[in-house]
Order: sequence, then C-alpha cells, then structure tokens
Amino acid sequence: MDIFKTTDPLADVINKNVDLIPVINRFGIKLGFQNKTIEEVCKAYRVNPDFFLTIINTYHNEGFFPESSLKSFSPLSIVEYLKKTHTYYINYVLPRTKDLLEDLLQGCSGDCEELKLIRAFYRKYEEELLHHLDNEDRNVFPYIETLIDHPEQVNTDYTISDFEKEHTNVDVKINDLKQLIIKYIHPTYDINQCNEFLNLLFRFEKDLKDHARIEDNVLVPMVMEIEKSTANG
Amino acid sequence: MFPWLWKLKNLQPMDKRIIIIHPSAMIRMGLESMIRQAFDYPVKQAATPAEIAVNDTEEEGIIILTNQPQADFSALQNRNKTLCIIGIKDHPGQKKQGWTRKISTNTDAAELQTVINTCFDKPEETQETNNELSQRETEILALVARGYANKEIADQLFISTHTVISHRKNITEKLGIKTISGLTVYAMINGIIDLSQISREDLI
Repeated sequence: MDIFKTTDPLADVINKNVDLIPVINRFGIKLGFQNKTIEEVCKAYRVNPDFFLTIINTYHNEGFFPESSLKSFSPLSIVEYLKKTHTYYINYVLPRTKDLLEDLLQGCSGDCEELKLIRAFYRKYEEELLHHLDNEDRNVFPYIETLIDHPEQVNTDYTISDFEKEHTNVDVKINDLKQLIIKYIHPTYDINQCNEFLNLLFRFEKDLKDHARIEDNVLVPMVMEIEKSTANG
Repeated sequence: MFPWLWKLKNLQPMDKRIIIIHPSAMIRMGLESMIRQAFDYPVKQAATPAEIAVNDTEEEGIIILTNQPQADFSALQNRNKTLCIIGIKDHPGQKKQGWTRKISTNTDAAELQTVINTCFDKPEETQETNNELSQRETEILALVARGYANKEIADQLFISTHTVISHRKNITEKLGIKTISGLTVYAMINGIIDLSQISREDLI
C-alpha cells in the first residue's frame, strides 16, 4: 500500500492516481506544480500539509486510517473540504451525468426502453443524493461548526452519531446503476457515449465512497472526541 | 469499393436460417427484404407459429422473428437450446412478451443487423438470461419489485419469511443488484413485471 509523504513530489502522486486531480483541486491547487514536493506546494497554497496528506491518503488507500495525524488539524478544515466536494458533485458531476445519460438516450436506436428505465432510476437517485447532501449542509456541518466555535450553544439533544446514517445507500445505488448498464443494456446504444457515461459513474462511485470514508473514519471520530471533552457526549 | 466486404458476406455459414412469424404480410415482406440486403441466410415466412414444422427448428443457428410472446416458443427452445427468438414490438404500448431481444417497427437496417448478429454470435446467451434466476426467485423478485414486504411475500407464497430472505440474498448475489429500486428496474427490463400496469416513476 502506497502512503504518500510530504517529501514526495506532487506530480508523482498524480502519476500514480489520476483520480486525485479533482481532490487536490478542492484545496485550490491546480496543475503545473513542476517538481515541487507536497510540502512545497502546500506552503505555496497555504494548505496544512498534514491535512492534505490525510485526505489524499484516505482517498488513495481504502484501508488508510490516519490516527497519528488527527490532532494536527481542526475538524473545521474537513468540513470545509467536504463542502467543496458537495459543490463539485452539485455543480459538475450530477449535471454532467445527466447530460451524458441524455446523450446516450439520444444516440440509442430502437425503443431503448431499458435506458428509459435507467434514466428514471437515475433521476430518483439524484433526488436522494441531493437530499443527503442538503441534510449535511444544513444540519450536520452547522452542528460541528457550533460545537467547535460556540460549544455553549450546541443542541445537546443530538450527537454526531445521530446524523450520518444514510451514506451506505447512496453508494450502493450507484453500484446498482453500473450493474444494470454493464449487464442488461441492449446492444443498440452508442459505444463511445456509453463508455464515457460508465467511466463517469465509476469515478463518481469511488469519490462518494471516499467521501463517506472521510466522514466515518476521520470526521466522526474527531467530533466524538470533542463531544466527550465538552458536556455533549 | 471494398471487395473484402463481399468476401465477408460469402463467409457466412449457410446452415443458418431465419424464420419470420407474423400475421401481417407487409411486415413479413418488409423484414425479409431488409434481412436480404444484409445477409445471405435463407428466410422463411409464416403467419402463425402453427405453420412452422417442428423439424424446421431443430438445427443450430436458427433465428425466429415474431410478435408472439417468448413463452409460446419455450417448448421449441427446450428441444433446441440454440434457438434465438427476436420479438417484434408492432404497436406502441404493447404488453411485455418476455423477449430477451426485440426490435420494433421503427427499427432501422443497422439495428436489425446488430440484433441478428448478436443472436448468431452468442446463441447461448438467450438461454443464460432465461436461467439467470430460478422460477421461485423470479416470482419473489416480482413481488419485491411491486413493493411487498418479506412477511407479505412469505404469506402469499406459503413459505417462511426466512426462506424469502434467503431467496432475496441469492437474487442479489446473482444479479449484483442490492437496492429494491435497482431490482425493480431489472424486473422491468426483463419483463418480469408488466410496465403497462404501473408507472415506472412511481415504482422506482
């Protein structure tokens, strides 16, 4: 298992895992970083390198659990990062997925009944995902922000474990969507459009799983620690 | 211009045959002429399945194009596992007929060619699709897709809830689909539940 270090050139990281590009973008970091190490790039962009490493290592290795670095940054940076991933889903991934699915239907010859069903399934899924993201934006993240900035004002009826129960369904459904396309689509579709759509689904599923891992393995344990040390635990 | 194309056409084995079964002579003639433009396979026509002699369908590499339900051919398919049925959906809103491959009256020459080629490339696929789930699993899936709970399914089929759960586990493992709405889409695509009775938006 590769674990990236602050002394690794950032270009090497991207060469090993191209899916990390949108992840580093969420820190405001863009391509063109020459041979600079992670530490140097983070310094230039004023990003906490421990936090940056935690995020990219969690994304890159499903089994990575960042115990040692947890204390060196605030849960608020994670909240900030997660909000950026939400924006990425809402502004880019979901509209793009919808467009590619429409293209696929346009390019399909025949009655394409199965693609219409897949579209109905996707619409419902999109609705659920947006609801899930909205719940985090409106309830979970503000709860954490209050807990840290104004612990005296926090609503003690809830703890972090009361939120965050519905992730699993969000990435299970996208897997169902992939299986339906891979196994049950009729051969009257346009291959390039379909491959593009499927690639997007694969990347999105990976991103969502990572999103859930960061919440479950990094954010929730950190917040639970804080809850223990304040009255709300 | 592309002489190799003609060679390819000549390479098609001659033992393959296509049978068109449809009450409308217009549709039969139209289909036959579309098929002849692309293939050299012998084509036979019939207005009803009864006009086809059983020994006409016993060799390998036979395709039947028909508007009759897939179930009407299950006896023939049991005798000849390589038999490939392509459904002809000849009017909008037509009920699902259980076909694993289908065309409609809007199908163009290119699509028709693709569908016929997939039949000849993988004749065993039809068989696999039919056998993907057992009869019992198919029954349970239809009820799951209609939104019934395990207890209700158990009562309806006179089996225990435990058995229902174990069938559901097998269905999910076989199909790789875990959510109820995913299973519903599968059931609709494969004609296990009938789309004409329920709105797809409500069900998924």
